[in-house]
Amino acid sequence: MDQLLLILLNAAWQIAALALLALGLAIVFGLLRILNMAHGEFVMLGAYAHVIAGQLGLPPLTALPICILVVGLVALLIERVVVRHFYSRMFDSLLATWALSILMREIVEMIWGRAYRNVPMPVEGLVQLGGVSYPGYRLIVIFLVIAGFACLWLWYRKSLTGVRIRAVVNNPSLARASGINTSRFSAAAFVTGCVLAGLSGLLLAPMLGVEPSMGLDALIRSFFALVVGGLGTLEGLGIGVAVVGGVQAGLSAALSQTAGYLGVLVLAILFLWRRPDGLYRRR
Amino acid sequence: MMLRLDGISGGYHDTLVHRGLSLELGAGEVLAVIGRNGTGKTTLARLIAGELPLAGGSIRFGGQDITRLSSWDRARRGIVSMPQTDMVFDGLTVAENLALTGAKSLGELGKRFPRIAQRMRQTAQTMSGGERKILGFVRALVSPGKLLVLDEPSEGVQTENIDHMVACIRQACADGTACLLFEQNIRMVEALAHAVIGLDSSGVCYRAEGQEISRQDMLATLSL
Ligand SMILES: Nc1ncnc2c1ncn2[C@@H]1O[C@H](COP(=O)(O)OP(=O)(O)OP(=O)(O)O)[C@@H](O)[C@H]1O
Ligand SMILES: [Mg+2]
Repeated sequence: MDQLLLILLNAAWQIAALALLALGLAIVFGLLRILNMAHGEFVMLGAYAHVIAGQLGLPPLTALPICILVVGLVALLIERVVVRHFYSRMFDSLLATWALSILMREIVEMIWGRAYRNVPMPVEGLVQLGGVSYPGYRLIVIFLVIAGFACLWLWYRKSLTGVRIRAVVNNPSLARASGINTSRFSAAAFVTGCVLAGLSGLLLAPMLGVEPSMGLDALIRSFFALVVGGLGTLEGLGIGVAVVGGVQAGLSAALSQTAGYLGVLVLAILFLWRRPDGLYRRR
Repeated sequence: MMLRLDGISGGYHDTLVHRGLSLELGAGEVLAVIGRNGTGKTTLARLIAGELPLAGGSIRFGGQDITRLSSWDRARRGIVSMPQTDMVFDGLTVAENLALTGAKSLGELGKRFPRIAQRMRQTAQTMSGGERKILGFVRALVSPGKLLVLDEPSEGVQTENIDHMVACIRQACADGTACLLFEQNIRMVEALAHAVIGLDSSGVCYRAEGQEISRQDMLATLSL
């Protein structure tokens, strides 16, 4: 019984962490139709906010505003100078953001070196749930993800801003003819996606650690979730992270960590091959 | 003058569709632009809306030079356009399509086009071709603006509903709105136009105002 609860909690944790990681990539792809290969580097940059706060001798909580500010500014700069020239050019944008990812990694390495750093848990302690004691910080993240996604979905489906966003994605030229500044919209969408990537790095750093090359794993796992769920919708993202996170957690519990990773890899390949549109298809 | 084009040129890549085209349109007036398929009506509408860049000439709207303004800035100043294709947001419901215009209610338009008022929750994608045209038309007419640029609103719409469109445009013009009507439907043009411009493959081939507008000449413009 307790064993089952632990497995479920671990699955919930895997899914929540993956949802957090993949959200930024899904937003950029869904709204701008480009695959941001530098997504993982924004996750990495967000995680480095802990390091910046530490070096400046600031309290740990200031890592949050530092993360938003640094990642937001870098993303805005990159969007205005590079990325905006590549919208609606899938392959070129892939190459451009891939080059940017290398550049970002190199710059971070130049500033902070290659060393792997540990980040202490912001919230220590275990919470007793039935017969299981589970890290409190993970429970907090799980809760934040569930609440955050619920709010995001409601806002996207029900608010006038949500309607405007869907209008731009649906018919950009009519959106412009209705007075919507689509250039500013694209910048806002890109920056939002990157800042969310940064926030996921910030929140997950206590588990993942911080190092310049941590972005690749984040990108690949986010990409797998998007492939399985269906690129470009919030619903697809939800299904994708649930399946991928669930499979990984299940196989890890039943067999081993490696089996978990392998299972996800096989799943992603199967989907790319047999069902490139993912599980969730828009009407 | 509400709208004034001074020798504008424009088209696609290196093929100019229009060379040095000029026209004027005052408040409360309807200027119809007619021409056979491929003579550049849609191109002209898109140049005015700012969807296509000008290769030369200038555009003044409401006394200001808008030549260099983006399409959204033109829209915010009061140029409302209904494109020939994709005139609605397919993925949105009727209600969402209308909400984007900022209009609170359909008013008279709701009575003339009851189908629209009854289908508020339907996704635009699932409507018939004619219904989508009508929704695009209603969207344009409830939008706050000073100039309507309508690209073939009557295409694929049944006569009875075209008559409703005519009545709605008349009402808008009575309230001071100007209308640039791109059409091939002679009846609609006759019912509305204060002035007519005819296009053929080499540019403007016909201009007439008020009493001079003749059905014969317009038919000649539309046939070979
Ligand atoms: N996107 C484009 N790229 C290149 N050429 C184009 C493009 N769109 C239209 N053209 C060309 O420009 C010319 C004018 O086309 P336009 O669509 O303005 O005609 P139209 O008068 O609106 O025709 P219709 O009555 O069929 O709507 C045509 O020769 C057409 O082939
Ligand atoms: Mg046309």
